[in-house]
Amino acid sequence: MKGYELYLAIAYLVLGPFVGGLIDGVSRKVTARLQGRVGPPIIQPFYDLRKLFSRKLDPVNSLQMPLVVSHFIFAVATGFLIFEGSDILLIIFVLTLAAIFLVLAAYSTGSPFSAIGADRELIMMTAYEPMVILTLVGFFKVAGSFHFGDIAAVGKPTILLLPGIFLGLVFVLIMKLRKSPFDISTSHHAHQELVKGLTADLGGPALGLVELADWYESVYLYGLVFLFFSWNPIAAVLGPLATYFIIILIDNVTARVKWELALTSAWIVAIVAGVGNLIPFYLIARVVH
Amino acid sequence: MSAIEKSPWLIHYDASSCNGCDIEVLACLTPMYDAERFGCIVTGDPKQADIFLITGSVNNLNIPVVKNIYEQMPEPKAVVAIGACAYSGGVFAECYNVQGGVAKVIPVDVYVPGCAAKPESILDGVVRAAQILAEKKKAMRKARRAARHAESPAQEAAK
Amino acid sequence: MTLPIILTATPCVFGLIALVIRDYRLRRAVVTIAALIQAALAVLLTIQVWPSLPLRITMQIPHLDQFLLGGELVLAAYFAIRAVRTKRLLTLLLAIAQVVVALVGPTWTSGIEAQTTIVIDQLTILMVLVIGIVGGLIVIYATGYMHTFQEEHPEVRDRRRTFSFVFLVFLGGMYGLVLANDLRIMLFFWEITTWASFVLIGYNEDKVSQKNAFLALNLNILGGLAFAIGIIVLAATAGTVDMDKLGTVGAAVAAIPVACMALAGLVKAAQLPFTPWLLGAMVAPTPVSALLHSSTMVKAGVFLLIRLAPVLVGTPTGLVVALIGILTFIVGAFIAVSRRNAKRILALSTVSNLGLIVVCAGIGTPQLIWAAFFLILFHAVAKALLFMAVGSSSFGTGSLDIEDMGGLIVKQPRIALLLVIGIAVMFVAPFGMLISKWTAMEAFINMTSWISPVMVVLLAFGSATTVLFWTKWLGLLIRLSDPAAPRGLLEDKYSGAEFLSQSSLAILAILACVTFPFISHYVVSPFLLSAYGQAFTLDQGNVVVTVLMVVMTVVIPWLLLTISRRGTKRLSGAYMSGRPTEAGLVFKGTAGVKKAVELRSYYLVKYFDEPWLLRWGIFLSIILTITMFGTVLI
Repeated sequence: MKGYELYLAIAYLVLGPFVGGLIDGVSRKVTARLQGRVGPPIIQPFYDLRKLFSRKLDPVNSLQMPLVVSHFIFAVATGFLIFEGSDILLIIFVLTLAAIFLVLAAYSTGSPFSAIGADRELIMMTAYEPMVILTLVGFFKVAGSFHFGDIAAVGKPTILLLPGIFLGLVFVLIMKLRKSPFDISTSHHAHQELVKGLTADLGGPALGLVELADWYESVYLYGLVFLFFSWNPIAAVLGPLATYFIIILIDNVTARVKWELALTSAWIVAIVAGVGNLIPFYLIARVVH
Repeated sequence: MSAIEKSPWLIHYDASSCNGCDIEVLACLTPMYDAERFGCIVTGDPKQADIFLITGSVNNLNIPVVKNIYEQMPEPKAVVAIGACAYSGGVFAECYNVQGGVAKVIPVDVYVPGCAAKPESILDGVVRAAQILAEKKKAMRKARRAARHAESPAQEAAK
Repeated sequence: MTLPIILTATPCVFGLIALVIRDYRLRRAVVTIAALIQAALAVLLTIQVWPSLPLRITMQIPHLDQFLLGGELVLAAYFAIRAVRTKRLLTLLLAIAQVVVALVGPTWTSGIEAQTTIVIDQLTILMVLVIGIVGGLIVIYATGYMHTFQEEHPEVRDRRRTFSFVFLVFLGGMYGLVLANDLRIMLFFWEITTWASFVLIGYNEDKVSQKNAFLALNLNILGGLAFAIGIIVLAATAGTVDMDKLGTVGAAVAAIPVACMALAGLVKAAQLPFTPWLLGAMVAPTPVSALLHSSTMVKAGVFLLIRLAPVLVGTPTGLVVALIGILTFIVGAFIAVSRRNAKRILALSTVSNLGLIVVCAGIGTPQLIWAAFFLILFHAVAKALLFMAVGSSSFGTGSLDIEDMGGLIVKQPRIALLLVIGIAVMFVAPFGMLISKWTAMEAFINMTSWISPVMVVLLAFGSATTVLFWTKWLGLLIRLSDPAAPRGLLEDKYSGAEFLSQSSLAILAILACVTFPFISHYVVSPFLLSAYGQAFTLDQGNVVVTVLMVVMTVVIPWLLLTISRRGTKRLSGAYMSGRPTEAGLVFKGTAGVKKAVELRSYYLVKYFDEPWLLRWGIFLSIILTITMFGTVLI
């Protein structure tokens, strides 16, 4: 482990909410501008979060809050461990665990809206998980390591070596960040057919925790995007930014899909772009041997 | 300025409106009026909402629903009754099923006049409601503090 | 060193005693004592041989050949009689073939004596402990379960004496199988397990049970035949019947015997195309399923394959075995998504996990054998627990449908908690199974062979669907439509024996999860070192992260739950679109008719259609099997 990684992880813990909140705030502002509106202030997410934590809502049952808090802790821990230099392949399974806690919190309520949201979120997890693993395989083929620091310091233009994997990851990112067209389990936009789906029975601090966990998640997910551009300082800044704006654009110009299309398209992308991108690595390895 | 005033999340319910006011509510979200600049989000979920926008009069069928939505909102909450019907039943007041204005069922904080109400006045109503929310929050805090002071000697006496 | 023989004989002797005791209470006491004694013996054996592992024992058993031949013939005759009685030609032909092979075999093997009769290494110890402890607990559970079962199902003839007898002999057979190094002895015990599973699967004696029992029998006789032919070829070409000599006879000589034995292993481990026998076996009473799936039968299959792993490395046979394994893994996981019968889901998950173990054995690098070791351990413990809990739950709910398990945490809180623990160990991130899965994944990625991307991709997709069907079930269990409902209403038929054995297993499962670094260090590493000359250990950092995660996953929800129980006095109702609801989410529907909310999960049948997947899986795996023998024979 390199010396700076622990500092990076601590910085993530402390600054994560601010960066994540800004990511959310800017995307709301950009969305508003794309629609020709003024939009909320960039720091609006922080107002929202402060308000959510100042509210009090009785839980639906005694399981709900423990599960939501567990979701938050494990979502934060996932990012911490990634930046701290643990084996990302192992940590990605912890990421699944965090998602499972949230899904269980929704299932526990018995409300049909929460339950269908949870079902859909599960289907989304099934849809994106293979691609996440393939992404890590791609990183390993380029950098020979599963550690954040090693992959960041590889010194090769990863994006040029892994264009298919990158495409797949962006696809997955839209799902993971619950952006349109894959915001089927719960949505940031108003008037979803499931009302708030996965988070329908969450309000006040519980919802605040889920929001905060989302912010932390978006930070390390964009951290993964950064790994594609880490070889060059300019690319390292522009690459994730460009990805960010592309995702906002997609969020604004697409309509929500059904779960069938979400699942099949994600798997097809994983196979075509992800596996297709990996095969040359094996061919080259065969030739070299 | 209280946090709640900067992020009033809304739930909109059409009691038995003619849909005129509802169209105007939705117009508030369009680029022309852009309610989101005040931090408003239309959530549709009472558990996440701070302000209850209600259009139309109440009748026998929707009274339980109006009550339930109101009860599921966390304290403090504000109710904005939009349009003439929500105030008194409006032109439908004489209908066999109409019970009258929203205030017959739940306490209303702000009345927005009009038939149908204008988007500008709806937005004004929401901003007023946000201010009322901030005051309610302050009052709640004060009441809680007072209760705590009053309680502690009583509790000790009980022990 | 007579302890291994005592260990093998003890359950059989007690089984015979149980067979003659008519009084139910006395028999239950005897069976319980038998379970405890054999478990104690298993532990004793472990302690005794621990300092001297791997231990080799040579014994001169007088008249071994005649004894084995006699045993084989008795079994074959039994199968033949059953086949004639039920008019099943195929089974009869297979039994006749078995007789022929048993009679002809000694011509080649005569004069060849095994140099080492018994080999005990860490893998044997793992198996012995799994059989002794997990198997023993299932026996205890069965005493409670079968009592309720016969009350609930008066139409089933009460054959509990036979049941206890076969159940215990099954354990004895498994002991013999894992301890023997002499392949002929191993084959004999192999056939014993075939017989025991046949009797147990057909316990209910109805049409479906009979059909499935004979399906299992046919396939397993076939596997046994392959095993026997493998031994004969080995004896004829290499002049040995020692398991541990397989690696020394040379790849060319070993090729055919190894392929035959691998086939036998695939059959027992219920890999494609032989999977249907295990899926059919769930018609039997639940303790039988628990036994077949966790500590016996299918584990015998993977045990044999892991024994073969050093010879399989890098051979075409090994490759095919690995491909069949990964195919079974993904087909099993996919089908499980579309199923709603709890036992079927468990069976499919077994098939899927065994597939992964088979992959590990087929490729056979130390890292993968490490993974296989832990897969066997965690799967045995968790799957036994799950089957037992599902069985107990079905007495209360009257159903095996997971949809009927909605809100089990209220109706049967104890069983639900045990189910949650079992499911968590099966797939949740930091726990046992997942560590193995991750290790396997890393091993696949590290390989340079063309098989690597195939394995990586299929494992990734299979794992994703695994999360789907387990979490769905977990969500059903903890659904609290009515938080204020009285607890444990459906638990009155839950016997003490059942709860005791299940909670012991749950504790074992959690212990194994927490102590796995020690198991890795003291058990698995020495095994790999002696078998492969190189050890595999997890990276220190990963161990720390994993153990930390295990502790967090157990402690945090528990802690929070305790706090929230104390703190929550008021609850708000679930969101119902503004509809006021009564307890249990009952609402007033159209025209004032009261309705309760009914929820159903997604099963994605359109995408994970069982017949289609099974058909293609069997088709592909048959082609693979033919390829395997094709390459070996050419």
